[in-house]
Amino acid sequence: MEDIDDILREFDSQNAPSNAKDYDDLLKWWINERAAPEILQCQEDLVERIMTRVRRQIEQIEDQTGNLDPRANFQLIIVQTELERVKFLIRSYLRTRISKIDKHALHILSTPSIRHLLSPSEQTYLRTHQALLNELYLSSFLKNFPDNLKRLDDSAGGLSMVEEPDLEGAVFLRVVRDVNVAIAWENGETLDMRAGDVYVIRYSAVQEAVKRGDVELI
Amino acid sequence: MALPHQHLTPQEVSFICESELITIVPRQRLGALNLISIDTRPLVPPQRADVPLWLAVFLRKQKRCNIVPPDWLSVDYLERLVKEESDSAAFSQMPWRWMEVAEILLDTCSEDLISPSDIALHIRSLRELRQAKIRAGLSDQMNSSYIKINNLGLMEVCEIRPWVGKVVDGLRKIEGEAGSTAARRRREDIDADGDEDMDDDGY
Amino acid sequence: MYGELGYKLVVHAKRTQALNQLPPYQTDIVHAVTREVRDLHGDIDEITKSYDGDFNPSEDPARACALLVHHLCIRRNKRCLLAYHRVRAEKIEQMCWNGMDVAEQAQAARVTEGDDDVAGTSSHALSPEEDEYARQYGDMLAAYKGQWTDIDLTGSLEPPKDLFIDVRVLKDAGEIQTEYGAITLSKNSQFFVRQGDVERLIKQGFLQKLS
Repeated sequence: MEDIDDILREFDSQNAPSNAKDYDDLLKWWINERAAPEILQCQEDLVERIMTRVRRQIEQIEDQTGNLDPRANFQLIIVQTELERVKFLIRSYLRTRISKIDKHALHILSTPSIRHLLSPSEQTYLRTHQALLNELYLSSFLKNFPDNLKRLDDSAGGLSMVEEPDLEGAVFLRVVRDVNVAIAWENGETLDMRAGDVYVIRYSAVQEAVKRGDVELI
Repeated sequence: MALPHQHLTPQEVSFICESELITIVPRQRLGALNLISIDTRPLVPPQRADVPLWLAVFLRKQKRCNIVPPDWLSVDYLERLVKEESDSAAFSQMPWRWMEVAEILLDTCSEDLISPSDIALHIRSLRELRQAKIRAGLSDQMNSSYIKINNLGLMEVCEIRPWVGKVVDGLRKIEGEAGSTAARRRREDIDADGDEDMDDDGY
Repeated sequence: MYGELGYKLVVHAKRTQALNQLPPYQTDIVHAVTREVRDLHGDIDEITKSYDGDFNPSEDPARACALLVHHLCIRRNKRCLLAYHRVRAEKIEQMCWNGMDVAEQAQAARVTEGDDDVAGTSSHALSPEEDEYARQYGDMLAAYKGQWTDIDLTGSLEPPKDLFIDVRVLKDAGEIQTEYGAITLSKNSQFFVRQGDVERLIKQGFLQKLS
């Protein structure tokens, strides 16, 4: 005879609460973003769903705090403790992306497919920031340069002024789903990666696998 | 704006591991909670419940529960692992978060463990044995364009990251010319001036 | 020798990266490097003009070499100037992200120094253009932050630990305001409080954190 708890647990796992999955997903994307040399697709919907819950929690906290002894409202402390954790995660995720946007600004601006990985407010930040920097360079010295040398995205002379992410660096990853990746461009050598395996490999070989979620960076 | 640390810090690794579920035995009642990352069921002593590690530690610090250590965190199991680890050149199977979970539990609820000091000793031995293997074993695999490091825990990966990464990067510099066009376009290959160093590794 | 000044800027930039504060803006060197670029460009113009735009490098390799050297020098100077300004801009941005009001600090520094202009150089660290940049970047950051007020975008990048802690009062510390109302910190009493609320009092020895 099945325990009622077991039956309930079965129901629970079928309608797995999306909030637990959402948090786990954001955790994974945060780790990916930290480890990947290039900027990845902004998880706007995911972040927005979690932000909705963040705002709801903040409201709940504001409603319930008053002249209460914290011990009497222990549950509220737990809510607040968790809230700080989630705030940290979102904060670190956004700032990791901002730091990459700053680092590869010109490259992102000039490559539409990458620009579209940014959220609208990130794109605004990028454009505004670059405009401010351009103004700084112009007013500081560039205005006194000959006209043909005023550009900031020169690549003549074999020297690119546009900083691109280094896709050839090594990354550590764990395989989520069995996947086959190409590891040597010249001879078409491929590698079969099994779920659960851990690898050190150059990012460019697994770039697409990361974006598909077949592997997770660590 | 640059991040203070490019790679995951030990504190961040702990943070990640704190979402793992662990079994507790509540000592006081606690109502169900609708949290952002999880919905918890009411805690009714003495019924065991699974909660995230960060919550378990919090409740434990307030003496509102006891933590049930995972199977592998016992003196017998660890003794067997230590023997296995020293007898073989391969890495024994360890749970993904073994080092971090062990550290967190030893730190916060050693009273819930049987012979915590022996456990701590075995954990340390395991750590040292595995680190030695990492150093020795990986140098054998240095001539490939990828390295498989199965059975290493997350914290261990983070610990070896700096120098393994450098070695693989070194490899890529050697085979760079035959490599992808992206490698060819990298500025470091073209600009021999000193000012290239200012574009550093951090974000 | 061309390029020496550019190198000086690079050295300054490298040093700046290691410092917490922004060292004074090297106005003189920046001006000199820019002048060098204009001079070099003028030289190039003169050389190519005399050929009416029909310069054949293989017929006059010496001239070709000279042109190339000038050209590379100009490029290098440009890179040095960009690098110098960019590194300093990044420091300014970092200060903004750390919650410093850079423009305000700069203004305060100028006020205390009065209208000094010793030998044409200001003792103030930022150039006027950098002051303007700091102000505008600060405004932009404030706008971006405003979209994420609930998570405090410039808050700590360290994972939270021990939001609430048990403390014991070592010396009478009066009353403090918390989100739960006022708490009277009388000697030997114990409280469960937000660490952020009592950090200062712990540092000052009024409270003791209990493990």
